[in-house]
Amino acid sequence: MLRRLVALIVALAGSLVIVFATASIASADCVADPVTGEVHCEEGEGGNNGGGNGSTGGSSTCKYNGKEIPCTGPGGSVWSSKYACWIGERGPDDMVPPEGQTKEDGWWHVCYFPPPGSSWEYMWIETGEVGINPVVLAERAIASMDLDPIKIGIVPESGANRAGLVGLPVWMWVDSPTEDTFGPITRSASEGSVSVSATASVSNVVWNMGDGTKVTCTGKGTPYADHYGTQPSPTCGHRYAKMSSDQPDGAYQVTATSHWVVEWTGGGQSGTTEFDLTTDPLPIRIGEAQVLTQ
Amino acid sequence: MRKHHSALGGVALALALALSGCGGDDPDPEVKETPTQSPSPTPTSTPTPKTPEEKAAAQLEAYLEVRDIAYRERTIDFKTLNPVATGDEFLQLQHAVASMTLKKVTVEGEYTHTLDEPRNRGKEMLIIDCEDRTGVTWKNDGAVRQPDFTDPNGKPLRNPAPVEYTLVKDKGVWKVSDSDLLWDQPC
Repeated sequence: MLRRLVALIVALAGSLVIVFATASIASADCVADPVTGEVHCEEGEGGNNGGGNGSTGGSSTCKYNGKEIPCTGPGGSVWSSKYACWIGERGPDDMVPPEGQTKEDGWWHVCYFPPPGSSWEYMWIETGEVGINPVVLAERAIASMDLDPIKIGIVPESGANRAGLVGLPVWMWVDSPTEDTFGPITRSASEGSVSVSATASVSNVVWNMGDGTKVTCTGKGTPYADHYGTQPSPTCGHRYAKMSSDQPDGAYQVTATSHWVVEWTGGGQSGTTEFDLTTDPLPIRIGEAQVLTQ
Repeated sequence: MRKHHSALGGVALALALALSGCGGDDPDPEVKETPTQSPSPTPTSTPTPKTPEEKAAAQLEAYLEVRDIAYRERTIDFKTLNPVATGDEFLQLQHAVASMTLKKVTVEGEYTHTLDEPRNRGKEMLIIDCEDRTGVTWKNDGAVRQPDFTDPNGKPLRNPAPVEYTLVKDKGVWKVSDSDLLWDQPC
């Protein structure tokens, strides 16, 4: 039995101090603002969220002509399916409403077109069409879900008196999955007449085994039970090739990153938001069988 | 090395497939041909680009001309922009022009663009333009802006300054999709 094979092989004293170095290869795109003259640099994507409770970064996409496009355009403009452009800043106050319209009915706005563009003119946007960003409502709905990283299920178990063996199967699974750790979970957010409904689910879990291996599992994995003996996990497993004695604190630091996909719809738009949540590292000790026989 | 001058208010653009250096140091404003070519009486005799690198450089040259006209006239001519730009660059130019109009920012004068040798990354092409704005004046609400640009440290932006452009294939045509001002590097 895997659980019972576990024995205290090496006396491990002292508290665990886990030092987790996060390598971040950040890139920066810099542009000169033609209005202020200032050069602004935007950090590119790089690195990850290392240990800890994960982050809820992500991006939202809207659909246009069957293709995915960002819901937020230049200068924080908001995509409008109705006008097929990102609605941006208001035009100058001295502009005149079109015939039959008043300032109460709407106003002229800059419209940023996805390529290819057609017309560079201010667009008359009716009141109520701007100001409520469905993307913001979607993010609000996601925040209300209060999502968490998964709870790690793993054998060999973590603990001072626990250790696994080189070459034997390691089982990984989502322990006690709930709607806020694995989904699906649906929440809504509303403002004015606009309501957005979002449904979130974990699409996969990437297990960083601490030995340089990453295992991607699409389901929850299979919880280990004693009757499985030394069989490998049918759904989500690993085998360590080396002892963990040369690792910091003598243990592999295992993390699980759940990849969330949120589909949302409302306000005349639909989109997808994706982000990752990562668990704190869990130390797993691995030894060799012959040590047991001594 | 070829060099392009973009006159804002009489645009004349000259492109350089520069193997080294920046145009800002070169006092000769005339269009130059590559050393292997015979002198040409007019800019219209520029050889048709054949290699992917040449085609991409020609597209960037065209884009810079469209961009500089857009700045000068504070409007976008999609007929000329659509064939040469896409992605973020396509959007950011619209945003720049709209912001200039709303904030009453104008630009006058002549940019000089000197293109470095394209770097072919397969799906994308990277080209650095050494942009010289010696002859360019930016005005906010009619007043000359000095310095015209400041780097992230608040110091006047160097001139010339390198800008790295990314071009991607869009339906078989190289188009400018992104730009990155390399403010802390010399040309």
